[in-house]
Amino acid sequence: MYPAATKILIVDDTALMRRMMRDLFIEMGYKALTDANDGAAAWKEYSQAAADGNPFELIISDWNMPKLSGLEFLKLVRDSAGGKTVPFLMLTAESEKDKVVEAIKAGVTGYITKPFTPDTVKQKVKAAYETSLKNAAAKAG
Amino acid sequence: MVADVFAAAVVEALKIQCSYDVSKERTYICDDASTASTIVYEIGAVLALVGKQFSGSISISYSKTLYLALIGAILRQKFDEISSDLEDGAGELLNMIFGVAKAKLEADHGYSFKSAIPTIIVGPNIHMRALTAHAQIAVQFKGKDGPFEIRVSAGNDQNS
Repeated sequence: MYPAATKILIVDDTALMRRMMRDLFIEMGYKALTDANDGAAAWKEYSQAAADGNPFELIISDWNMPKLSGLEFLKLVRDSAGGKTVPFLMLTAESEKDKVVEAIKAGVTGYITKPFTPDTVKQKVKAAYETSLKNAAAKAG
Repeated sequence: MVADVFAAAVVEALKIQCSYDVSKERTYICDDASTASTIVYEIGAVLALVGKQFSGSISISYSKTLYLALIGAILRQKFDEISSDLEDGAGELLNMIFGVAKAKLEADHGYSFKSAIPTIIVGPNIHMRALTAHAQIAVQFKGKDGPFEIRVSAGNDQNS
C-alpha cells in the first residue's frame, strides 16, 4: 500500500461522503488528507500543491459535481505538468458504467461504483498503488 | 413494475453502503386515504426522473431514528440529531438507489432516463406528494431502528 505520508486529495460535493472517505483513509493509516467540495475547488488545491512543489500523490474524486465534474478535473490533471501519472480514482454511480470508458480514455487509474463497501475502497487503493509501481518500473526499465 | 425495481434497489443500496438490512412492509397507492401512512418522517429527498419511456419522480422519507442509524452505519459513529452536515446524506443515498434502479431498468427493460439533482427536505413532519396525473405508489420499509418509505410516480406524459 501507499506509505502513510502519501498526500491524498478527496473530492466530493457531499459532506457525508467526504467525511466517510476521510475517516476511511485515516483508518487505513493515512495522515496527509485534503478535501474539496467540487471539481473547481479540487483543481485549485491540486494546482497550488503542484506549484508549491508538494503535489498530491493520490486523488479520489466523485464524478457528478457542480462547477467542474470529476471527469473535467481528471482531464485538467492529466494535461498539467507532472499530472500524467498521479493515481486518480473516480467514484461513479451504478448507472454510469458506460461513462467509465470516457474516464479510461481520459486516463483514470480506477473507478469505484456507488454504492460501495469500505473494503472496495481499500482494494481499489491497493490496485492503484500496484499500477503505480508497475508504471514506475516500466518507465525505469 | 418501476416501483418494484426501485424497492429492490433500496434494499440493495442500503445493504452495500450502510451494511444495513431493511425489509419491505407494504405497498400502497398514495391517493387512497384509507391506506395512507400516518408515520412521521423527518428527513427526505426527491429526485425528478425524465426519460423516453416515462417521466416522474422518486422520493424517500425517513424517520429520524432510522436515518441516523443509516448515517451512523456509514460513518461508524452514533448520532442523536440530524445536524446540517448530515443532511446531504439523504440526497446521496437517493442518488445511489436511483443508480442501482436505473442500471436494472436499462439492462432488463431497455428504459432510458435521467435524473435531476436531488432536493433534500428536512422538518418535524414532512409529507411527500407528487403533483402528477400518474398514480403515486408508496413502498414502506422497516429497519430495526424505524420505518421509511419511497414514493414513485412514473408514467408516460404523452399518453396521459
